[in-house]
Amino acid sequence: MTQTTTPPAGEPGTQRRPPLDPNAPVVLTVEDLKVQFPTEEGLISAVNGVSYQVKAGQTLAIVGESGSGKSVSSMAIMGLHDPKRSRIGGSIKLDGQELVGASQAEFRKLRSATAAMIFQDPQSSLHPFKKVGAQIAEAYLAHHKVSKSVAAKRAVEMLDRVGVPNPDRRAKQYPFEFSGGMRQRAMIGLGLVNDPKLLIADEPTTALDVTVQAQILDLMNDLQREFGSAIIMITHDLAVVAEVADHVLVMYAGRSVEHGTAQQVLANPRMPYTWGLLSSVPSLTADVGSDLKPIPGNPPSLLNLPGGCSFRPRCAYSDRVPDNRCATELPEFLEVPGEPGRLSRCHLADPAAIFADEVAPNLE
Amino acid sequence: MIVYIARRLLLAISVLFATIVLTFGLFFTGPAKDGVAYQICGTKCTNQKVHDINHSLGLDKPVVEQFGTYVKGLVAGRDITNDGQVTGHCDAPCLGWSYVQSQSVTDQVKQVMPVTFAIVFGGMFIYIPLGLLLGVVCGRNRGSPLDRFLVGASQLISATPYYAIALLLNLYLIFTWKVLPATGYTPLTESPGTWFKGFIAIWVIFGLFASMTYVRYVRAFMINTLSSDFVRTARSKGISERTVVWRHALRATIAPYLTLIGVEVALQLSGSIFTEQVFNVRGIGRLGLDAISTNDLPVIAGTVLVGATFIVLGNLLVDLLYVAVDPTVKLT
Amino acid sequence: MTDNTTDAVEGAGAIDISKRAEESVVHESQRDREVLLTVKDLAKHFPVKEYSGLFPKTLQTRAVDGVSFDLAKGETLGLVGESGCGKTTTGRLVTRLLEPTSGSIEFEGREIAHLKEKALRPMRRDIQMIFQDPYGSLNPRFTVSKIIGAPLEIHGLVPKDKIKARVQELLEIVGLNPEHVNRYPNEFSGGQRQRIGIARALAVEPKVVVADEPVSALDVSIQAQVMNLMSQLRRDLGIAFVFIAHDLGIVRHFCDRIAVMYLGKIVEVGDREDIYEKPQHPYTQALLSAAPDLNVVRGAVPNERIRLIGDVPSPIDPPSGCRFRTRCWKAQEICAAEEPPLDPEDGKPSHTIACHFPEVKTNLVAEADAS
Repeated sequence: MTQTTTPPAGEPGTQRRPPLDPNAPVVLTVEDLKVQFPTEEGLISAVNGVSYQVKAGQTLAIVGESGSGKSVSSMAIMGLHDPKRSRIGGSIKLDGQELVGASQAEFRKLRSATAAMIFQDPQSSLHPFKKVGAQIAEAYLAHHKVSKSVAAKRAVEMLDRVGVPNPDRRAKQYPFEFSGGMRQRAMIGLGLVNDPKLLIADEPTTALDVTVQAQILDLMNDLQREFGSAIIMITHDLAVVAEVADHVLVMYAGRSVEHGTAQQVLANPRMPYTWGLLSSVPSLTADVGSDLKPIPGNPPSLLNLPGGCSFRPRCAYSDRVPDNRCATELPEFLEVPGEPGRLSRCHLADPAAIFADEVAPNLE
Repeated sequence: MIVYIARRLLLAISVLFATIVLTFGLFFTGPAKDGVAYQICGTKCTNQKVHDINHSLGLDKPVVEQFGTYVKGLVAGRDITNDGQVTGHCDAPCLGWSYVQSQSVTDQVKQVMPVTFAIVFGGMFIYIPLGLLLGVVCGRNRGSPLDRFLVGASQLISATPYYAIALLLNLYLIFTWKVLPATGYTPLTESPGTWFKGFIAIWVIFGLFASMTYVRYVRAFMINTLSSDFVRTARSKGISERTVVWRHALRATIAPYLTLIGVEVALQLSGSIFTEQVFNVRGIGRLGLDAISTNDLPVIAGTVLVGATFIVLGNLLVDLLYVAVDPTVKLT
Repeated sequence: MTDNTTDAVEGAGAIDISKRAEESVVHESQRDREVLLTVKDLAKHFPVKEYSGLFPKTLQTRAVDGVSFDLAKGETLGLVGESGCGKTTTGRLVTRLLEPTSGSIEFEGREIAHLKEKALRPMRRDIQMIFQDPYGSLNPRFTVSKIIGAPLEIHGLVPKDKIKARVQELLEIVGLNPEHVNRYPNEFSGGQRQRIGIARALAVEPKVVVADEPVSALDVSIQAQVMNLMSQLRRDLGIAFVFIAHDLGIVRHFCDRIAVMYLGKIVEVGDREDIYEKPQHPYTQALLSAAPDLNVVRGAVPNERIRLIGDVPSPIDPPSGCRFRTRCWKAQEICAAEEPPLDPEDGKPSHTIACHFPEVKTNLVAEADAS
């Protein structure tokens, strides 16, 4: 085992992801998804009409800050919201099956088998008192009529696949005996044990150190090539998006505001919120003399969304839209003419020009 | 594991020794040192008489020597002498000698312990599963009418003094409505059936009352656990909600529950005066109470030591059980 | 809100701290550093009980194990490294929230490493700390006025009847509404709470602020707001910062000098350009190479990708010699036998590296295509 991997010098960084296969089958179609939570203070509209598709073997990154609805929308795919405390509307079609309104029994059949989820904190996401191998085997047993020893073997095999050394011995250990990175590897093994068509990864590297994060992101890339699963990567970190995503969906206050390939969204964003995110992050090569350009203010309360565009109170460009439309009229999530799959939600007439002239020069 | 137990036992023994020193110090030296003499000849005792009695019982010997005798009795038993004559024998572990009743404290404790054990362990069979079951049901259905009713009932019952509830239930269930058989103690060896019958009401009433506290604890643990990340992971595996609740959530809840129960049981073993008094059975609680009313210092000291022993052992047992249910505390 | 912040900070000049600001400018232009804080061979070992035998053994977690650096007036020193590298502990030692096991901390020529609580009090005014968790580090039962006013009262800096006015002034400096003095922490958002934490630290006009991951609990857009606030304060008030963070981009943005820590030791110290453009220690190189980079989508091409294998070893029983050797691709026998000293790069005393085989690597972080 070598300590480093050194690709031949000059291999383009962009080829980290294989070229997109336009004919890949669609695994998940989410349309106009709404998730609401009735509370004593009122109805929280956590997700407010979100639409996207994920294809086999491809990664969609859902980007947003806390309260943007990125996690909530994904939990809905897994049916993990308490039906008594939530209202879900719109449509979620996973592998052809409609999930909005599906019963818990139907969800049970899908969970782990068709769609699996890994979470941010590997420390708390595994049962502290159960052996790691047994926890993985349990998921396999739930969907396969096999003996316990077969499932146990499968668990060891998965630990091996995700790069846990000594998988035989490790399977018999408890989570506390694993390091953070190893736990997240085990979680990924648990997620992939039933070879699901969709893997939802909710901030899978946020709790990890940067060198371990790099290991885990590499691992996910490799496994995706091997298993061909579709991946939804939920994250707030645009740099992570740049490394792993084929497509990006930017969410703000429960709505999708921008969608496209990673290249499109990160290099030529069309929505002022995405611009703001990009200029908020100091890159490793940008000039250091100048201040960062943060988005002013705070995200709106989900109990009381502003009328019109939710981003308008923090947007520096709303005065360029005539008739105060940003305050009165919610922009539609529209496809950019001539760019299929490229959508954005903004009233600005020519966002591309504004970005190129005013925003991009400040980024580098 | 064995090393762990050995180390804990060592610790337990040192704690017990400290208790012995403390008990001895409090009851047989200092201001209390003439207590036994006064008890024998009454409060109008002359100093001379006190001195004589102390001398004849050997209570005027140096403290260290007396303590040596006391400890030797605990370990190997000892003869009780009066004026140099052997008047009785106190078998190991000799907890002391009641001069009023001319009986070793150990024998008295031995008489009452079966009652205490029966109350405590019998009650456990009711309140542990009941507390767990109702707690889980409440926690799982938080906010439901059933949950609200049970939480309300549990708060109401816990807020009422136990003796009042025990007395009322005793009155209604046993004497007025005759739902439960009357209580009373018959040694198990004499007639198991009668023994059992005599305890039924105690177990039910004590068990129900105790379970009410645990319902709220388990409910709180459960609500906490059910919202934890690993329960979400369990759900996302596609296993049934029943498995999620009873295999995953409960598994994590049981460790803190055990700690609570262990401490509680140890306390009960050192005496549950109200239960014994209301249901008219004599356990270690009443032994201690009676000794207080007759100023029988050696008996009081003995019950204190027994109580302390149970608490120390109870804690040890809880720790061992904890190791069994929570692998993360292995060898700590 | 940003505009507010800017205005407010400009206003800060009026509160007579302008003198310091002028002094700090000196350092920018020439390398004539006026050293405020000197840390030498600092170590903090936390005892851990190990229960393998009949009697528990006490082992030592070497959280910080021989760290030396200095900090000049108005300078910002970044401490970076992964969890368990000892950067937070170092911060707490410097602020003397912890007492070091050994080593010295000299502040303005005065040894403070082992001062007792009472003797420390005057120095507490000069070295302040900002914490990571904007939720846990403010007492929820105190109003903002009390949180920020308490240090003023303790140090007797402002007459009692003027405390409220001063608190309002400070709130304005950090970009909060001065009318909110009587609110409680839970009435503020995460970013606003961090501003309160900063105002509290500023209240006593410190010379050094140790900021421990001050923005890592905040959302990206709010992070930038708080970072800008800190940059302003640095410029306007000339405060020196020890900035502890794991985010390499933010550290690069904020810090003049950077110390990279690994397992309780500093492995490389240097000016920003030295560390980010010409790193020499393999661990520094690995850290930079591991950081995900936005520029990838803009066609950036790093020279190579270094991927470390495995995890950081336990600080209870660190590897002999060089602590990084168990994960280092260059490790030789000497690395296990001898601990490499923190040696300066040839002819450049400001850049020191603790490695037996230092080697410059460039372009680990790729510039985006200019096109």
